Amino acid sequence: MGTSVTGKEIALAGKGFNEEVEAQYRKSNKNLDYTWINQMETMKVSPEQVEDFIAGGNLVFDAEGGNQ
Amino acid sequence: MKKLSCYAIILALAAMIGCAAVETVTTIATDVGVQSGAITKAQGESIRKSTQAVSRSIEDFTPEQEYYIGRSVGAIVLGKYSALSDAKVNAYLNLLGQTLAMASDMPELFGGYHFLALDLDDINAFATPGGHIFVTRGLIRCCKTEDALAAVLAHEIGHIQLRHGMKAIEKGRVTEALTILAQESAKSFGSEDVIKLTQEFGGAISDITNTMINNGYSRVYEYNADAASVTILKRIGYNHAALADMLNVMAKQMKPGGNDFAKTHPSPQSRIAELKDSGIALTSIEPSAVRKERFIKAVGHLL
Repeated sequence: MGTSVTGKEIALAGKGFNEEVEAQYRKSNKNLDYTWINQMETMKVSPEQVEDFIAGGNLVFDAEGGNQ
Repeated sequence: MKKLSCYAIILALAAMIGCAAVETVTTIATDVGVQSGAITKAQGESIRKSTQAVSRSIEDFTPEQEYYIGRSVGAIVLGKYSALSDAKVNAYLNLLGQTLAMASDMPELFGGYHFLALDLDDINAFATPGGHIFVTRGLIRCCKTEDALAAVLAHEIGHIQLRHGMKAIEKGRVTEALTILAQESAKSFGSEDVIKLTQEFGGAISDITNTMINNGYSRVYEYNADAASVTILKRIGYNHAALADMLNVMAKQMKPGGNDFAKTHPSPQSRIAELKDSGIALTSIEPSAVRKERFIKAVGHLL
């Protein structure tokens, strides 16, 4: 585990497991690659796309019936 | 003797009460104990500290913290298994998955839900506490309809909404991490705390990935995630019997003693039996033509 911690990291880490703690963790786990994690987080779906998907698939939100 | 039994009663009382109330009740109880002379001031303080630690639980982690835990859990999954770089498949998984998430008991997460296919023939799927859901090509192949793939994704959403990943973190680690974080209010956070916190962060990630990838969740958790899947499917109008259809295909394709679902999940037969025992009717029906068409268009080349 790395021991180099900046003042900013201390201030922000006090708020919990967050970006700064992740950065500190990554310093000690350089083999971990977050490229695909970052990439999958860019895959967005808008509410309109969901609505179209529901309608286009003969689905009904809050249907409760199932077997359609 | 009287002092000892009073001490024991206060601690037992604290253990019986829910996390939210435990500290308040303990403070009152210890104050009464000290004033009546049943326990010393030092003993009262000791009880307060003990119950403070007991009362810290995964509920005290914020959605933001779960998100960051999830990112690193996901990075470990992706260090072990390659992502499937197929825009069409991943776009479809995200559209289907977001739709299902909307119908779940936890439609909103700090970082939202994100879905990614893994380039792996083994039958497997993983969900991080942060909303990252991975499904292998091998598991997609067990799905003959959109409804069946929806059942798989809804099962993984079920693990997230039931916080099964977070529950895999060792209790001692949860207490330690949250105790360090609680020091923020005392303004005593230092570089050693950041290092300790990062160690706890790494430990939490190891606990989750060991359970998720190597040991598997308990059978009860898997059955609970199946039940959550059925609820989500019903709410959106999918045929929930598709979960059983997928499990039947999985039973045929799974290698006994294999390094995939067979290792970390109850058998497909026992999962179907559990659904039936819960009174869930599992009558297969022909999926709608439009869903069949878009399913084949999106993932047909993987089947």
